[in-house]
Amino acid sequence: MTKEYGKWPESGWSSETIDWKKAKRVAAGIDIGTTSTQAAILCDGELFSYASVRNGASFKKAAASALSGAMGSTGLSQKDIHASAATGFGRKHAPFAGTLLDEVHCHAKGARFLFGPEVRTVVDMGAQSVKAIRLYDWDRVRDFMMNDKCATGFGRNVEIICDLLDVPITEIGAKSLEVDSEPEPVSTTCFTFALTETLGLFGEPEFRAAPLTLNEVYASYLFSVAWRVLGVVGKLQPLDVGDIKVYKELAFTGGLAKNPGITKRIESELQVTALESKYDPMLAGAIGAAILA
Amino acid sequence: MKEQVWETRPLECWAKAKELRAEWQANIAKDDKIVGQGNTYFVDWQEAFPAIRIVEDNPAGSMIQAKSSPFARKCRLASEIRGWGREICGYHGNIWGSQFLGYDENGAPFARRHFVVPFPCVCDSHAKRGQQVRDFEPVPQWMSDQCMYLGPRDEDREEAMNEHKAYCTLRQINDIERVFGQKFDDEKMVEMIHSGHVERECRSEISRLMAQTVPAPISVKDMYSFYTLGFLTRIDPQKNLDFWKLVRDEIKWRAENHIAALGTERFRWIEAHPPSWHFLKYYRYMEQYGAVCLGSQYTSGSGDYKGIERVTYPEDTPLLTREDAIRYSDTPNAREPVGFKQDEYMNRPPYGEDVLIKFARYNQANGALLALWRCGVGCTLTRKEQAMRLREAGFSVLHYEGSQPGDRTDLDEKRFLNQLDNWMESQGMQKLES
Amino acid sequence: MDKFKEMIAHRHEYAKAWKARTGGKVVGWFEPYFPEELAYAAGMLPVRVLAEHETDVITDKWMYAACYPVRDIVNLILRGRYDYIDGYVTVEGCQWMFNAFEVADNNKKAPFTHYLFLPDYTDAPTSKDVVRSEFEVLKGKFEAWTGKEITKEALDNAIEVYNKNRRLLRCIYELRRADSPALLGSEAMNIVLASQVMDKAEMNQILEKLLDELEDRKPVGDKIRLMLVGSETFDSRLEELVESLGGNIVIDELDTGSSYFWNETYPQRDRLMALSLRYLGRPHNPIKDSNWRRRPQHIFELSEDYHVDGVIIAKQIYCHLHGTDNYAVWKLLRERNIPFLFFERDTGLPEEDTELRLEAFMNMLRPGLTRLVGWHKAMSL
Repeated sequence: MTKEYGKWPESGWSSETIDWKKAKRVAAGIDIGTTSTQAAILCDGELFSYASVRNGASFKKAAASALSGAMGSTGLSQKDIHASAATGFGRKHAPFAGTLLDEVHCHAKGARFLFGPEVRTVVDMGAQSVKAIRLYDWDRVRDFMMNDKCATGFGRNVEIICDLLDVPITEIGAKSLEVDSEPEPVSTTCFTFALTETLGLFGEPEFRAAPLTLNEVYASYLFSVAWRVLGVVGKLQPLDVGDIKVYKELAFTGGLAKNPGITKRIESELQVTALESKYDPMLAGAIGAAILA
Repeated sequence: MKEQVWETRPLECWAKAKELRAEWQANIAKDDKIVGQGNTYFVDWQEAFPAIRIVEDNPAGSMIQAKSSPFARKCRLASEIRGWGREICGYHGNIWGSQFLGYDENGAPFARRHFVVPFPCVCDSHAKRGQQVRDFEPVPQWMSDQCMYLGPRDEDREEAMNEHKAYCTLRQINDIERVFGQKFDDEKMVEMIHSGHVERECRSEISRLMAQTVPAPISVKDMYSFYTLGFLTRIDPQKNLDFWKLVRDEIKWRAENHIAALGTERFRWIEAHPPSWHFLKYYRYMEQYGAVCLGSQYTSGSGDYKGIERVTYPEDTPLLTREDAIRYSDTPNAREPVGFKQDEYMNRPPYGEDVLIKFARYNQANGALLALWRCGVGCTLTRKEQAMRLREAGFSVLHYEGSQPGDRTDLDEKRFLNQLDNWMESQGMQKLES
Repeated sequence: MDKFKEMIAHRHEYAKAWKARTGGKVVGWFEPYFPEELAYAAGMLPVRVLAEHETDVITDKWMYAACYPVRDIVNLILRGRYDYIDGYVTVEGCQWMFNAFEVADNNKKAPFTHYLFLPDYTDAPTSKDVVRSEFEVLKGKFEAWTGKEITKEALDNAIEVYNKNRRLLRCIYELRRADSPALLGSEAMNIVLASQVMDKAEMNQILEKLLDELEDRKPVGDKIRLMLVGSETFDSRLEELVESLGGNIVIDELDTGSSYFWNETYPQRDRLMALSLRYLGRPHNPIKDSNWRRRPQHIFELSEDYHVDGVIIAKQIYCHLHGTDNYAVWKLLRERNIPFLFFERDTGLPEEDTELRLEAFMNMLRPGLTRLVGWHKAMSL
């Protein structure tokens, strides 16, 4: 079988210090995305365990697999969970979840959990969509914006490009930053356009002295992704009348948050440094769902 | 180069054109005049107000893309985040984005506009985009209209349209006199109509020589350096006229002496619209095949190919008053629509032969390269139908896709060049050895 | 209420039956500034050429980058769905819609086609004269086509029938201002759409009866009040989706909605001038709002009158007019602190994606989260 470069490895973790049996409230959140699913379990508001799995062809199986992954060998079973909620594109496929929640509010909550209560702007970059969320100080969503219809499939296309170019998804971002200067980005309109244009960057160029290096090709592609995200973030209210203004307390969530080739370029354009978390930013949706469950 | 057939040499007037363009560019940035934003093609009275300068959004927007892709991209993002759709004409995304940002591609402050006359063209709702100047700060705005109808000439139907047009222009002039305390020079207006006529004759002659001489004495690649001088990018009227006479004389001399724009000319092609301004080098690429571009009805100063009798200056109709002059200069817009898009609406079946077929025949073209602009409604609608008609008439046609001439976003350059190779090879052409 | 939805679904059959019954001609119109009264006075049935998505393998041959409603309209025409239409009239407006008219004109020649110019500069003293002149030209063409004069009496009757229709629709919209309205947004949308494809005299009778029924109807309950703004829509799917999530669209500013009937014709001896003033004075759509901006203010006033909690701005992809006007609309809504949700759509609505956005928006508007508790009972998983 051909090696797969574009997939984030599946992962799981459980706390060694928390005893779920002592918890007054055990809550589970599950975020069923278009390509991967995360489940998180909170004990009295503390993160107890999580799992992240690839979807395959069935949302339902992925949901069950993520939840059992999060319960793992902790001895927890579904009946021990006091409240559960599902969010994400495939949320209707988790029959064990008591509540369905919208992604925007889950990511907002999850981001404040992961990055701290000072978060004012959340940029969730998933496989299917990009969401930019502006939060009030008092934990309410002030505004949110999502990608245009014809700019969907952000994260999934990064996976595809990794597979096509044989570069691990864990490395493409860092490599793309190893360039002397930013090359002209490929199409910033739609990821299919961007993909075909990227593949055309190889070979002898007609109007350039030398072909682009591989890192420059990555940079050209990831810049276009970053630029499209800026189009979403920039529309958030309140809007400054000059350049895009983003509150400095910005957090990235979702799979693309782990791609510095995208996040660093966005930070550089916005002149901010994003907040950091010790947890995987892909968990924001699931944790948010568990909090709100 | 092998297969060289004709003598070729650079254009002498090119340096002058460059100088005049630089003058226009420098003028935009200056703040020595009252600056109006508008389409100079329709605001053709501006020279009669010596203290007023009109800046046109299309060439200014395309200049941004031609000079700096990163800045143009930043401008379009600045527009997009304020609500402008991503399918909006790149010229406007660029120029208004620059206004939002507050600076131009050189980092200089965006020159303030003191009033606006939105571009009244049925092509792609330009008038709406002109509102941006008024939205940005409350400056005076005057509207106009580009009236049109389909079918045979109908003078009764034109009457109200002409009155409307004349009213709009006269009101603009009267209001500018009142608001800015400027005096409109009626005699100058009449003089401008005369000199405009001479300029048009020069352009017409150049287009005729370009179209009907083999080898073409000038290609559109060179023409793009100066075709907007005069009617879109206004400079000193006398300098402008001298320049166009200079170009005409040089082209005439070249035609008579068989000096070719491309020494290896063996395939003549036309377009329907300018290409992406950042990628003009594809004309050179095509020259490797001995293929020369004769331009489009957009760049052609000649209406001869339409086979319609030209509106000429009536020597026997003296223009005595301002109103005479305005009525004379405005009404051809309704009588013989001059905008390229209107041409395409009206000169097509069932109202006659397609205007592009006429243009291809007039230019003795072998084929046509027709852009499909995702963000240019006016430049794109009818294009596929025209291609079908051109093919039926025996012309080879290639389409390529992009955003818009002022927006390089979706132009996949590699793919475009591959398409050109395929097209040329399908026509039995091979690259010539250099 | 379902009868109006049925009516739209069976609009082709309705028009064919009307033709068979009356022997009259059906004239299809593309742009909302078409003076229907002239066609009605000429004894014709004016119908709006509504878009509806069907598998489309045809339009790409003729069109590039056009918005989906326009493509769908061309698709329907070329497939023969509108073959009963005897003539097409378009008005200077959206260029994509002009493209639809043109492709139809070139490939499916109707016995009668006409292009009517209506200035983008609607406020000049000469604008009304241009429109009057254009209406006169159209009147003459209708007369030549039908071989019958359009009499003053016929024109007066048409104006009255249309005015009555507008008044009745305004009455229905007034009911939507109630704290707990008697009808849902989807129902109102279907009524207005049906009104654009039916004989107005017949429609007026139905509406009069409906108004009586609505007076006694149980209110739909307290829901999040939303306003719909944006490109033309041709069905009530978005409204229904909003309702399924606990909201209600109480007012719209759509060319296919409130703007269609919002103002009346004020009679005067010069009937054509009266019509000219009516069409120039209607709530402008973006392209005719080219001079001073009236549209954003109109949107604001509607949002105030109907006490909306938030505004949905749904733009069709490739709708360059709303893509240009959104700037001014967003600006005004932001200045006045009216929350809005913006997204792009096409004739078909991507339900999952739109539902997600709508739900998040409504959660943002109301204190306490919307939770779809018990949702899985309704689903077979």
